[in-house]
Amino acid sequence: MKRSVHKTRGGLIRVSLDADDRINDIMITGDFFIYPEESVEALEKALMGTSTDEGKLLEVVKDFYENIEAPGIGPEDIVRAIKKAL
Amino acid sequence: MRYIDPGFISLPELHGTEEAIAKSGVPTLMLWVAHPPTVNLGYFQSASEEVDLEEAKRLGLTITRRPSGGGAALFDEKELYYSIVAPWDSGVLPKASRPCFKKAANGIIFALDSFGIGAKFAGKNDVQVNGRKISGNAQTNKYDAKIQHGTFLVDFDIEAAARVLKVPIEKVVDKGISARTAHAMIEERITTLNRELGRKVPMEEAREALKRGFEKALNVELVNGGLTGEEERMRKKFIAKYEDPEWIYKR
Repeated sequence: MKRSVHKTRGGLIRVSLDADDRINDIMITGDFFIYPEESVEALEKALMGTSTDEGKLLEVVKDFYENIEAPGIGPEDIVRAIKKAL
Repeated sequence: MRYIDPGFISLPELHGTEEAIAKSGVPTLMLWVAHPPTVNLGYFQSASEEVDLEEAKRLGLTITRRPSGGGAALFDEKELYYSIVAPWDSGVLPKASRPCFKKAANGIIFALDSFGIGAKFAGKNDVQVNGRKISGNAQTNKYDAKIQHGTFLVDFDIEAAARVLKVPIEKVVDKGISARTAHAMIEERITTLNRELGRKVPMEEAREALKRGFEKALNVELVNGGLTGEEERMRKKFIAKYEDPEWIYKR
């Protein structure tokens, strides 16, 4: 598993992942707040199988932002954290 | 608003009770003390990344995961803790995250003010005295209700916290603290009611101050009460969920 730590206004985002040109497995952890909490597990599922291309990642993460509240963390922060781990 | 004093309570019992109250929808404040001593992870945290699990075992500390986000903390009998559970439509707490943190923080700030200590809301979820954290807070939503909870550091076990919590270097460097020992780092970032006052404050005195602080911040009158029979029944299955290793070590 490759790992990254990315600091945001909303807290530390840690990513551990397994990927080639696509994400095979990913876990997003950290001391942030995202509501509802279960949505992060749904995001991880949605990211599995996604191309590691920045645009594709941002597309999936932006979809996830439709119905959540994530104070101090933007979609680009999550993509940044993923890219750092790749 | 109902006030419940659960006394000494384990974290799984506490979180199970909060969830039962959220489901019943009765606005409630609980002031409680954690027993046994526990490292409580934020919802999204990885147990192995945040905690020295071997050291926790040596110190006899329990590991739990709470339903709310935020950072890992050591919960024990030296500190006082609060939980506010209130349906969104009760008007006790705002539904939006930051206004809710701020309103709840006022309870802590008013309590500290009654001791002559000036404190303010800082960062995303802390209350600070002269730049040092004296209260950490977290929240979640269940059954159209807000669960808002946090710490009130009457005293603090720096020794144990420094031994079990892995303080991420990224967090420390940014706060302008040079990387020395974990003990010194925590000591610089955290203060307590006892340290600020230079005396050992009895838990009962801290509890009364915090109760009055929340009455003022939430603009409510607290009335002593207990759980209903229905809440007692409901909380059993919720407690079992928070005690389940599958939940605790899921990340």
